[in-house]
Amino acid sequence: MVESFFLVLGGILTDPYGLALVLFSTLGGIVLGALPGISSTMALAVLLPFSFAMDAHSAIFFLMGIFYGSVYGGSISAILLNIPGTPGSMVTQLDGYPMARNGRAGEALTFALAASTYGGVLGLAALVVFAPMLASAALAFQSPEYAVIMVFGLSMLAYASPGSTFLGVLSGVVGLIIGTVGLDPVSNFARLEFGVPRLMGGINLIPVVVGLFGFAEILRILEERQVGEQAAAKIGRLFPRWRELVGNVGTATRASVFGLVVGIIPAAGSAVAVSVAYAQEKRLYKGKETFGTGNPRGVVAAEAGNNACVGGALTPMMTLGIPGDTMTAVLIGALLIHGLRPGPELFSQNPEFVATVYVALFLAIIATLMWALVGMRAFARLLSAPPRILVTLILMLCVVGSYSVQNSNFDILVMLAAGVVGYLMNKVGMPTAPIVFGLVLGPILEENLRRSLVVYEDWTIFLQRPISATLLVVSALVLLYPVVSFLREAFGRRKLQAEQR
Amino acid sequence: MSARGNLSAEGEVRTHGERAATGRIKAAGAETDPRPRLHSLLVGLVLVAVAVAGFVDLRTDEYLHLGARGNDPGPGFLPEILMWILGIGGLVHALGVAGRARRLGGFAPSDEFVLRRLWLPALLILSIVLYQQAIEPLGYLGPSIAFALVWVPLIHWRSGRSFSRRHLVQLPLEALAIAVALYVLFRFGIRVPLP
Repeated sequence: MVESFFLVLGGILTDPYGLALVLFSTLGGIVLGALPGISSTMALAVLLPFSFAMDAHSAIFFLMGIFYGSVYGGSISAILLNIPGTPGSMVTQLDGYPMARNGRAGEALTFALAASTYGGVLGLAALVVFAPMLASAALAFQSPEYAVIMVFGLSMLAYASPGSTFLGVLSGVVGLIIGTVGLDPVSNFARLEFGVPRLMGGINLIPVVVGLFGFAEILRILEERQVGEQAAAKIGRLFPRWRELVGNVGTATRASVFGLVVGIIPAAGSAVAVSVAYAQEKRLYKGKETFGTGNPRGVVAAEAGNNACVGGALTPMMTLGIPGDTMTAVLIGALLIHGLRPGPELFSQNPEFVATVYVALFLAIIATLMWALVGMRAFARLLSAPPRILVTLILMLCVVGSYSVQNSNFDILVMLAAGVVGYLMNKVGMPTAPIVFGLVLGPILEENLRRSLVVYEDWTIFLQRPISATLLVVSALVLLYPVVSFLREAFGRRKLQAEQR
Repeated sequence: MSARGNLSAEGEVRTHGERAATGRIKAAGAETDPRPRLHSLLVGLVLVAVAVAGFVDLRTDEYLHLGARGNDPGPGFLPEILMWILGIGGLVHALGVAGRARRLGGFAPSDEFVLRRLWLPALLILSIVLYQQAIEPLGYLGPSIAFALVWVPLIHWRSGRSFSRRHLVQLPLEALAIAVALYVLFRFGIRVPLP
């Protein structure tokens, strides 16, 4: 693997086209991530069609650049405007914006950059170390384990989704149902096509993601009259004192570990990772009352956790085919389009591609660092760009991007329908991310579930095998947790009422 | 352009949409109202309706049972289970909301679904439908320019910026540039056969 890594790295460093691709995709990611209202998932989804014309290796360099760049970019508007560019940067603003208000915006941006780079590198290191180990363990998995891993992934995402766990589960079920539309993966019989011939081929993931995370967000933005000019804080001095920067290494390390671990949990996502990293750092720090008032430690904890989460989220994606978050769900869609199925076989059959993923993430981290050092002030200026250009551009990218997946007008309608559904779900407080996970995991779940029953001829096979039985029990506990807490609350209320009487 | 993100007092993380919705509810002074909202009830009913429609489609498909052989439960197995979960889940949710509304004396008002908020998103949905319908017979470029010519000024207005004489030229030029740039990028850059 080390040899493949250096071979790919050498290849890309001597290829001007490849280098330009990495640099410009990262720049695009930073710019989009920095703009308020454009999440990393949205950036990745609307720019994904540009990768269709590339080979799989170039596509992963391109997508990884956008992915990592946008994760860092989110911190710029969080610090300067108090508006997170991405959900993962919502904690950065807690201390970043007060720092900016105190005339230390440039320093806050540098703390964020240093912590992002540190967290990103630790995340990459963990990915390189743990992914092959997990993949080689997963090679022993049979269809019952795979079926249960999909159930486990779905239960985790329902639990980790913001808002109601119950509605999260139902949202995941909707995604699974969408995933079963069209020909079934075992016997090729069409289901749920409702007489529409175009639905026989199933519903493509990409238009659904573009609709749920791109078009739905634009609909939401259009709801209200927006504030005209955004007053970004002045940048001021860029570099903090060296001692202060180095003094935060412990914080960055701890936060990276938390971000990484949460990132590995299927579907947990960066928002959860940064919250855990920030909360833990606050708990451990002696002057915890200074958190939220402009303590650089808060910025460092949030950004290190956020960027370490990238490596974490890529681990289950590459080794088990389970998305770590919505961005990796989009990446899975992209890999499938290029004929690559993430999972343990990827490591044994296509190690060069695995090395390409590592190199792509490594170069994206370096390119982000480079662009940020050179263009931090310019990125800040972008925040006052007129929204009309950006919003119209994204709208038309949603349309033409969906069309270009299969050169089909029908996919524009799928995108539109997904957008409207996502918009309405946001309005009623139902999480949308589980739909995407359901759509990704549904076909794999069905295939492995039915294969298990055909091969083992026994329904109890899922309980007879230790790994699948353990994961099934954990999934059941996760899904039953809200029921148990509801009952506890209800009993507590009754007890209180009885005592008051 | 976006709702301000935050960590709630309980340390719970909320998404953009949720934070925006929470902010709006707070703005309406409804955060103290413990009553559920009518749209929560409708969510459950819509899920039940989807499950029933899917169930009917699966049960009336005379070919689906052919896929079930030996121990293979067949192509209708997983979708049917999912429809049951969705239907029962939707019903439980709706009953829970209805029960809470009954206990607390009705539904709380909500400003989520009011014309003031919905008219521009509805207009966008309609214009995307028209745009999609026009692409096949008229080609990509014409409908795209027309779409951008409508939406660039509309979004300019929506973002609270004023119109001056120079915008009469600037906004159409921007619309034209966006449509043409995307056409060139997709048609010649990544060779998508746009109609």
